[in-house]
Amino acid sequence: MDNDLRVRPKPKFGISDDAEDEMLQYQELFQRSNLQPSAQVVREPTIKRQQSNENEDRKKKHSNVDLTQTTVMRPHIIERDVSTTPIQLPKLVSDSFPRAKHRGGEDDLDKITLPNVKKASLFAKQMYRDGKLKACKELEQTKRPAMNQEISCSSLLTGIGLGEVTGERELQRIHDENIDRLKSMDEKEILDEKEKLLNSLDPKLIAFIRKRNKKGEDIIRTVDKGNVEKMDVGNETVSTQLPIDIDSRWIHMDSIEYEKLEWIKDLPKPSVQRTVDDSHPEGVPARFDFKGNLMSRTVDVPVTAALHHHGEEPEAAGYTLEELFHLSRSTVLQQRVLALQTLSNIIRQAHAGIYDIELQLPLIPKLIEAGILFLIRWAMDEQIEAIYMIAIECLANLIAPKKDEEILSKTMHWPCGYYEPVLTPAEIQLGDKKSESDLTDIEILEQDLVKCLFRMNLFKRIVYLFDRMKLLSPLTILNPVKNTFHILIRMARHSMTSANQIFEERELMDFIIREFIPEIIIPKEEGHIYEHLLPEALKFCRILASHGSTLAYNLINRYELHQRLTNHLVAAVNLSLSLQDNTTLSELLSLWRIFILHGHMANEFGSLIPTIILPLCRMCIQQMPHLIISKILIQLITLFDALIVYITKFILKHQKSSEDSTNVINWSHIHGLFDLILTIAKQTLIETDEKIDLEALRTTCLSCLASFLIGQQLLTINLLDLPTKVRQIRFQLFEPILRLKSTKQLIESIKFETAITSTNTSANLPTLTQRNTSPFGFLIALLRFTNIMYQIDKSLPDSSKFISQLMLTKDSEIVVYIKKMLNKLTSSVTRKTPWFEQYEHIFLFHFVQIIHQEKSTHDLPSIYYEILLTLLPSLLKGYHYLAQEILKFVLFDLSFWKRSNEIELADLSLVTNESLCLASNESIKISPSHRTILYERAVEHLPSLYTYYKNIFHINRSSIDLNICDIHFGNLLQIDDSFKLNIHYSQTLIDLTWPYGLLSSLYTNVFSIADNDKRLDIIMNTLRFVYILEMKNNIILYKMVTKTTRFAMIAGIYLLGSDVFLEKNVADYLVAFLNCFNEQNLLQKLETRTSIQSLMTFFDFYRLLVDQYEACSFGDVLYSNYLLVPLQQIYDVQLRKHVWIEHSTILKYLRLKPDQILFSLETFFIPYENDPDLIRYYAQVLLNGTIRKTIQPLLYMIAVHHLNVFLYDQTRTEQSDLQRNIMKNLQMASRNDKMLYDEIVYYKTFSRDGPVIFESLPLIRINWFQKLLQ
Amino acid sequence: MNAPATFESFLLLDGEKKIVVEKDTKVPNAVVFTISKEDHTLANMLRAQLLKDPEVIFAGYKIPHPLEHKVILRVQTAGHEYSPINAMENAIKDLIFEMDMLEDRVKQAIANRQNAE
Repeated sequence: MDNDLRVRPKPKFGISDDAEDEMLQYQELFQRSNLQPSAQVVREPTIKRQQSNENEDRKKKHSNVDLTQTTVMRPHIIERDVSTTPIQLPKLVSDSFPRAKHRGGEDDLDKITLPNVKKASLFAKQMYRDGKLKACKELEQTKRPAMNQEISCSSLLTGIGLGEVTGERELQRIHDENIDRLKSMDEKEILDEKEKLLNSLDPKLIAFIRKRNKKGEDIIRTVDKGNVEKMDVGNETVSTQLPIDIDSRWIHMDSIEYEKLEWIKDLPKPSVQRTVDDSHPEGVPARFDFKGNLMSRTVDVPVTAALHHHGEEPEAAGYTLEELFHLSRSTVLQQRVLALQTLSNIIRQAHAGIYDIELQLPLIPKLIEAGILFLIRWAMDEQIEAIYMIAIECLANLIAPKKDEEILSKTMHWPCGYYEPVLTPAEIQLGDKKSESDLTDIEILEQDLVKCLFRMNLFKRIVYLFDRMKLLSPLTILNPVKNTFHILIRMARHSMTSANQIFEERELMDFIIREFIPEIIIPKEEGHIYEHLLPEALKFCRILASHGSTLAYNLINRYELHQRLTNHLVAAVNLSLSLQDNTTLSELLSLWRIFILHGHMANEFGSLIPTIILPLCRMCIQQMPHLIISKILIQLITLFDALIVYITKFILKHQKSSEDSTNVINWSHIHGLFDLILTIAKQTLIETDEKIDLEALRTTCLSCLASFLIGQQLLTINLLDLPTKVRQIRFQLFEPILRLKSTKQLIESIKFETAITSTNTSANLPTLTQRNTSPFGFLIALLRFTNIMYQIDKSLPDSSKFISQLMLTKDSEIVVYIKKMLNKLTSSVTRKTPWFEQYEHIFLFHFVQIIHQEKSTHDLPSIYYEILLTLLPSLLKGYHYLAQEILKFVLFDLSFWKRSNEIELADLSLVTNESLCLASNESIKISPSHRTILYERAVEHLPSLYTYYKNIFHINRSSIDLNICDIHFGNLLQIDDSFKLNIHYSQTLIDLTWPYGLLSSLYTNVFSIADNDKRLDIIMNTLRFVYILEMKNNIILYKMVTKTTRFAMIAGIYLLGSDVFLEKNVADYLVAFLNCFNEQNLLQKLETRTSIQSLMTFFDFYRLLVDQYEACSFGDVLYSNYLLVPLQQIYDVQLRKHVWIEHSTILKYLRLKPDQILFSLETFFIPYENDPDLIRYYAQVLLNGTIRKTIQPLLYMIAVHHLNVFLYDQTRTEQSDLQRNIMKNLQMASRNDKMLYDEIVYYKTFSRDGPVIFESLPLIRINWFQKLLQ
Repeated sequence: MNAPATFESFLLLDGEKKIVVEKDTKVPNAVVFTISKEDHTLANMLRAQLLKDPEVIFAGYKIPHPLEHKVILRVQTAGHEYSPINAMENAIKDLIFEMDMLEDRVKQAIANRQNAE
């Protein structure tokens, strides 16, 4: 002991040699000491079991992929039931110290003897005396139950209602009490009492109790019998069922334990029963095989397929997701790898949309919700290769669907295809947290999966794994390395912030560039990955660079990428004779193209053209009919395209400055490319190899030639040469392409093609989900070329009409397509634009534009204009220039707007007045002819409206949003240097309420203008344009803007200033709008409980409108009309109460006459008012003279009408008190104001001239009247 | 920290007028009163008093912004003979009279009470 104390303690977790011995020693010591551990496993009683049973039941009932119940990820925490444990409050003591416990006299203890114990200790005796000895208690208890057992517990009382534990306890207490009572009575007494009870109780009840007692016994009996029988069966029959004969010579098999040999029997056949069972109306859990295919339950799969396992249903083959989740956390390596592999396959298939029909719920969101991301991330932390490799694959499959990347790479060479989607989910909601860093991982995961990945120290791990994999055999690591890049690429796509964050991970970036874009070229050895150029690494750089010019510049500068890329390009051309297996070259070229589009590395490329690029082209053309070669050519030509655009832009910008430009690339560098591209394009007409994507090559050639012509025209270089070039292309390329069979097929297929919105994506992980490529890339290129051709040769569209002949065929596929598209665009108010639809937008604009040029004498059908206008709110953010062009095209085409309208203006017979007098004493005409004049006047303003709306499109546009799209459409002069090559995948340029322009931002005070004239301008412009659209019955207003919004946007004009509505011009339109709405019955179809699009709720809006009316309306007739619209009887009573009761001052100056209402009068009277509060208030304002017939005729008539109807309503028995009350008050008041009394009592009906009155009351009314007054 | 000073709601700035009277250019017989450093307490009372006047067609006020301590009161009367300014004067007189009467009655009531004790 002393020795121990003197020894210095050793560090607990040191790496000393004898540390292990010491540990063992400690352990031994611990075990010998027999100490109770401080924490113990407590076995929960029945409750837990039941709960888990419930859980299982729920799982089964719920959908087949409900993984939220996976217990180990977020274990259910079951509270221990402590309701039975007595709670001992600490005793209060008056002393400063608790008193020591006295054990009592020892002499007493001597006399005590414990039963059944020879010699008891003093302590035991004391405990016995105090009744605390457990053993003793048990001994005593054994005596007692002997009596109780005879009387079984009541079968009637179950105590269920009292709760699990208290119920039982209470039951026992009642039982004990009964027994005590019985004990205290002798037999005769008991029998007497029984007789008494039997006589007094209901015989039915007695029969029930008796039956119940009997039943209880029966049940016990059958159970017993069952047990016995089962045992018998076990002994006799099982032996014959064993699939093997038991040899007596086998050791330990002399006595056979059949129960333990159950497992060697065959599995039961897969049962159909479970699938069609009534207990699973919602379906069964999905089961998958190792490839991720869904397994049918009914199919008898051989057990050798290894799909059977000891699960809940051993007969069903395959694994459920729940089982896979379980196995993927197994400590057995094989199980874990197998589970992860299967999950990975399942995810891949789910992204491909294979399960969309079979499964009830989308799979990916469910998997994410169940926490698959954490599962994968943990697996990535393993040291075992097999596990982390499969984890990487699983993650890559989860976040980066292969199909998305595939289709993106196919659309990359299309016009505008250089845009990369920015896949950021909706902005993160902080809830009640202050900043994003306060949110937990799970909260982030729910909103943004990739952001959650950033938090998981993924990059450090990736660098480590890259480093480790370097030592392994190249064959095994090829896929993991590629998958790692897929992960990185997807993370870089997330947002600009994410891309910068990745770029700032120096270790990772250095490693990638060093190993996968090496400076020194080593001749390709089979299967080597490290220290060689990897296409995925190049793509990764491309995605990073797409996030902006600055990032691209930093990337080039930090790693001297221009040097590296040049080396590789040179090596590719010089070192290898055959390009046919060079898969990296096309990726390298497309990276270079992105750099050039950003304005970097163009000079370097220019200097390479004569020495490297031209020989490369020649090599390609020679080896042409080959898949990879055509890929390289496609990239090469799109690179030329980018170069032409860059040079055009550069020269335009520096034309005026007299800088020294000898070393800079200029037009002469690329002049020779024209013939080269034309040659390649002609080549595509000759080739007939089906496998090669000739269409793509044609697309790029056409696009590049168009850019070339645009450049030459813009820079006015050799203009005389242009028409020759056009003719050359037309005869050698363009017309032959039009005649191609495949072109015709493409156009025929167009009616089936439109981009789809995905259903399987979860909000936190946006994907693109397009299944196949559409023909629009080629068509855009074709149309774009046609357009520039028509621009150069102005006589061409009149004479040739290429596109009309090609596309407007008899079957008119295009028209079918446009109609379909129109339906799709207007299908829902909350539609999201699918990523690949942008090409359709461009196509539609080009198409209409060209058709317009070709049909110079005839008018275009209205549908073309409508589709263009409808397109606007679907344009993705970044297509400012396209929006502007569309607007220009539509607004400036007066032939469309001046076309006679189909509907004749209805005669407003409702209104007797020809004009309306405003508060400012100005009179407004309300005749139909005046409305036509207004329309014509508005149409005259269209050119100025174009400027107004164009500016609106640009208001939300920040400089970083400036896009290369503008370059593409020839808008070269307005380009800044800092732009990016990507667009958010779903954000649109403008919202659906765009025709209302700045009004909504004026209403919310976002946009404040002090200048009155300017504000008036905005209002007038908006009113004019919306009025034109309303009169044209335009589809955007009808389908995309709700009726409530349409009304509120116009009524909101009154909120914009205390005198705006007094302007005659504004009032003119406000009257016209009210008529317009009235004609369309819109004023009766508002939805007052909804919100106004991009604004507040309707109720809030109306509140503002009322406040404004109260403050500065001067009781204006027109304003009163707008104010009264939501007060019609069909709308919410809250609105009426708001005006009549809460803002009763208004009643003083709502002096409208019935014939001044510009819409239907009836709806103020029918249906009748039901609300007793309002009725009471009507009576009040009439009686106290707030409302008088002479001053507020309309309000007076409304109040009298509803009061009269209420008083004579004989069905309202529950409100007869109120009726009587009002009647009495009326009679009292009649002494002062006989007229009011008469009007209310004798009122017959309403009219535009005022109330109509009974000459003499009908008999039924008189009777009722008498009855009320009694 | 950047809360406005408390006196801003009731102290007139240098050179600031308590009340500015402007004729409304567009509406006949209408006047816009801008009363500085007042709020609903005064404006609501004035409006109620004005609306009791049968010659007043319209009386409404608003507070342009919660941080601008002023009310804008618009008044319109029926005929030329009786301008909104007259109406306003009458309303103010009536209100003052009413207040005086209220004061008197309160004082009298207190005196009665004291005498009784």
